[in-house]
Amino acid sequence: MTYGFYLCVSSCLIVLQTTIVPHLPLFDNFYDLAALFIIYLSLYRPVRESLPVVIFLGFVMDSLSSTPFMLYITAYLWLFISMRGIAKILRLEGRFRLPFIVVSGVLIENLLFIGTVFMLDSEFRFSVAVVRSIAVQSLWAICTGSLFLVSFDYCHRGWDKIINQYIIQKKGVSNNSLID
Amino acid sequence: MFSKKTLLIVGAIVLIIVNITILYISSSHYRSSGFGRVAIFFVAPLQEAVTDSVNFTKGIWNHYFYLVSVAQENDNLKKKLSRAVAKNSQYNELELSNQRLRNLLNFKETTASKILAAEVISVDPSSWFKAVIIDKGSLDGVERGLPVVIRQGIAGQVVDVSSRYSKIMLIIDRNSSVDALVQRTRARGIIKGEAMAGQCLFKYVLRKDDVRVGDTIVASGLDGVFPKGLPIGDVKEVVRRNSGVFQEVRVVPYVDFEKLEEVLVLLNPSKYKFVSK
Repeated sequence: MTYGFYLCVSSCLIVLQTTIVPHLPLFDNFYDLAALFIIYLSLYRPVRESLPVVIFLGFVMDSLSSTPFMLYITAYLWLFISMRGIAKILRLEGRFRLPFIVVSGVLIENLLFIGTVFMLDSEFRFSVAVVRSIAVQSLWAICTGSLFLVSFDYCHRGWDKIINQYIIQKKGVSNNSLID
Repeated sequence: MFSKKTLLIVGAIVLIIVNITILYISSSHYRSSGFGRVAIFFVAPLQEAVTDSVNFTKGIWNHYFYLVSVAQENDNLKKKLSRAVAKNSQYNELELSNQRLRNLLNFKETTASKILAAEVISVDPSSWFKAVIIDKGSLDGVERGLPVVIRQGIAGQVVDVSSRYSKIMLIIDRNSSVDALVQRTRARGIIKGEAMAGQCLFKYVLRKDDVRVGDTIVASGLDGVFPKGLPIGDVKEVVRRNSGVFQEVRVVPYVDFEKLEEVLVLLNPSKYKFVSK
C-alpha cells in the first residue's frame, strides 16, 4: 500500500515540476522536486522499500527529459546513496540538519549533471548562467526544502493511518459476515 | 574469502564504471527507447489535464478580470492594424514581382508542406537540458525527426513519439544541432544549444568569414531536417581569438522558449527545389 503513496506523490511532483512551476514567476530556477523526494526516501525510509521508487522516478524523468538515457536513474541512485551516507556520518541535529542535507542533495545532483555534460561536451565551461542557476536552486532548497521533507513525512504517516483503518474496517466487516 | 568492506568497495567501483560507460554510450547521440514512450503515454495525460486547467484559469483571468487597459490597447491595435494592412499590400506587390522574376529565370519552386498545430503540455524537468512534450503523436502523423517551428523561427525537432504525444528537443538543448548560414554573407556553421543560458552557439564558422553582431542566422537546409531559409536568430556576440581556425559566435534565438505554448510540426518539410527547366 505504501507504494500507492509513492506513486501518487511521484506523479504529483512530476506534473507540478513540468507544468506549473516553470510558469510561475521567480520559480524558473527551482530545484528538482523529485530529487527532494529521493532525499526524503533516503532519510526516512528503508533501502529495500525505497530503491524501486528511486529507479522508477529516475526512469520517468529520463523519459520526459532530453537528457542522455539513464542520467536521472544514475543521479537519483547516487543521490540516494550519498544522502544516506551524509545523514549517517554527519549526525547533525537541530534546526540546521534538514536545510543542510537538502542543499547538499541539490549540489550533488547538479555535480552529477555537470560531470555528464562535461563528458558530453569537452568544451563545456562554467558560465554565469550555470553558477546563477545552482545558487538560486540552493537558496530555494534552504528556504523550502525542509518544509517539503516534513510534509512528505506527515502525509506518509497520514496515508498509513488511513490505510490501516480501512484494513481494520474491512477485516471487521468480513468477520461479522462470517459470524452471520 | 573477501571481507564485506572489500566487496562493497569493488561493487561501488564496478557500479561507477558501468554507470559511466552507459552514460557515455547514451550521450554520444540521442536514442529513444520504447520504455520511454510508455512513460510519456502514462504521464502526459496528467500533464495535459493540468496544463489545460491552468490555461483555462489564465483565459478567464485575462478575458474577464484583466480588462483595465483593454480599450486603450484596442485603439493602439487599430492603429497598428491599419499600418499592417498598408504594409501587407506592399508585400503582396513584392510577392507578385518575385513570382514573375522566378518565372523569368525558369526556376521551379515546389512547396509541399503540411503543417500540424500542437500545444505544449509540459517542459523538461531539468534545467540542464531543454525539451517539451506536445499533445500530438503518431496518430496525428507525427514522426521522429520532423522539424518543429513557430512563426518567429525554428523551435526544435521531434525526438520521441508515442501514439498521442511527442517529445521535442529544442534548439537550445545541448544535444541539438542545426546546419545554418549567415543570411547576409552565406558563411556556414552549426547551431548548437546552450541550455542554461537559453541561447545558441554558432560553431565551426571559419575565422575568415564575415559575421557581424545583428546578422540573421537561417537554416541552410543541408542537414535534411529544417527547410532552407527558416530563421533561427540574431548574432549577439562575435569573438575572434588570435589563434584558431574558427570564431566564436553567440546567437539569440528568435523563439522565446520561456513562453512557448503552441508550435507547428512540419509533417512534410518544405522542399524548395530550384530546378532549371
